[in-house]
Amino acid sequence: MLSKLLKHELISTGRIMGVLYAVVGVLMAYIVGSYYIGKGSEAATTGQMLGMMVLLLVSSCSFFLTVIVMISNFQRTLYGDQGYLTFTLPVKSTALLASKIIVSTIWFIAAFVCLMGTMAIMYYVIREDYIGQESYAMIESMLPLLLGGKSLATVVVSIVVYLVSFFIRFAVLSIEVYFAISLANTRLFQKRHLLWTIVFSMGIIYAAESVSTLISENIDFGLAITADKMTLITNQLQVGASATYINLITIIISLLFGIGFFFATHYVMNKKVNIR
Amino acid sequence: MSETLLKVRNLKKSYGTHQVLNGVSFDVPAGKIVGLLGPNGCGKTSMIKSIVGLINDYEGKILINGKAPGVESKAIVAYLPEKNYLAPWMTPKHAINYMADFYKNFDKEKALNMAQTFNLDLTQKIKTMSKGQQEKLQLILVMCRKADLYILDEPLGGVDLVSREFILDTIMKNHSENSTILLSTHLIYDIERILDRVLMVKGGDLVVNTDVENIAATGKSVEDLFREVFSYAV
Repeated sequence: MLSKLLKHELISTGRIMGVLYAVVGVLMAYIVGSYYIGKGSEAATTGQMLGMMVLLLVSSCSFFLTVIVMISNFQRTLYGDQGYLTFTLPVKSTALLASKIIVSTIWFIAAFVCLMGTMAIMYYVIREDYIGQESYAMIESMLPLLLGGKSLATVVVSIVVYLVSFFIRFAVLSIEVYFAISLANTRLFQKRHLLWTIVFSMGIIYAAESVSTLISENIDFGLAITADKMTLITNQLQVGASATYINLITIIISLLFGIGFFFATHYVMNKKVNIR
Repeated sequence: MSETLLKVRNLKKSYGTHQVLNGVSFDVPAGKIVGLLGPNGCGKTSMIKSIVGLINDYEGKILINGKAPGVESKAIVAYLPEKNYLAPWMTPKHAINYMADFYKNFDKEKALNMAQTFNLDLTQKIKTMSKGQQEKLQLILVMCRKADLYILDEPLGGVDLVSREFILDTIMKNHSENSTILLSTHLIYDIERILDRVLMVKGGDLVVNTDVENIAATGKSVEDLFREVFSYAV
């Protein structure tokens, strides 16, 4: 049943997010295409400039829009009138919740890819035409510092670890917001659920971040990546000056918070919320 | 299937300090059409929401075909709420596909045919449909399931006399054989002819739980008894 829930969740949210990314795709294709067609010309055209501005705007708004769509979809389909249908489906409520989290993570990843794509276009295609020679030179000088001297394998692994930790963070952020929405729909807060959703979301995210920071500042556990190898580190003093350090403890804490908030949301959803 | 399809024991539900159900107990036998009757605000909807799994913080016991409300009971219960529960962007075609995806006992062909018979445009968005069209669509979605228990919450509320006849006919013609119907309403006159049994709820208590033929044996109609119990003209 999870696959069916995912299918319908993607259809439901895709009406908005799909359109957004279709626009992004068209803009990217236009900018890249028009750049290569007019490669001989010195300056960028007004259309390219305008396209780039819209692309930047849409890409940077995509995270914000994802959060809005995610909150409104969760509220409407579970705790609004549509909840009468959703909660009477013959599916486990854990599957319901999991489908919401998976789909919102997919849209967060899409927003991330969209932003990366925009940056790649700025860097590789548009270059100094748009970002200015100084900015371009700065990015060029930074890259060897990040990648220089390291083997391809260590670069790939560190990128993968960074991405995985990023996506785990997105998924956990979704669960935290879903927990806040569920709390805001309990009897005590139901009348002003939108206000309480904002208050609870901010409170929960702040509290989780504070606890995570406190723990990660006191426990060292991570990956030290040097030119040719990666080592598990339990003391940051062991990390050499030339090595890149990836803090694994924050990823583990995120995962633990995610699991905790998942079951807390499930409990509130099933035991404390009455659909209006 | 057990002879008693729905068993409710000592069901209590409160919203804060306001008690809406005061320990209600009753059985609904399989294959019967049962009217859940009472004025607005007497606790009918809270009772129904507890049975279908929309309310979980109740006290007491509910068993549907021997199982507590959950995934298994939801698969055999077809529920028609008072509200429009479909997303406004959906079309009837999308709603029918949605039900077919989740309910093994949903007859998609029958739903498509019924939509055509009821003159519903399969591609029209629900938000642009009239209230009557939306109600027809939800009735199709419920009645095209081969369910063991149909729970219909105020299906006749807010519709004109002709529509009431149409809704009752649709229910009677389309519910699956040997299934049970629990129909909540405060409009007694319209449904009296189809009921086998009645449950009357007053102020959160079950005050009448009897077969229609028992009421008839006393020389009264269900409407007469309802008027007597609730002390007002129907």
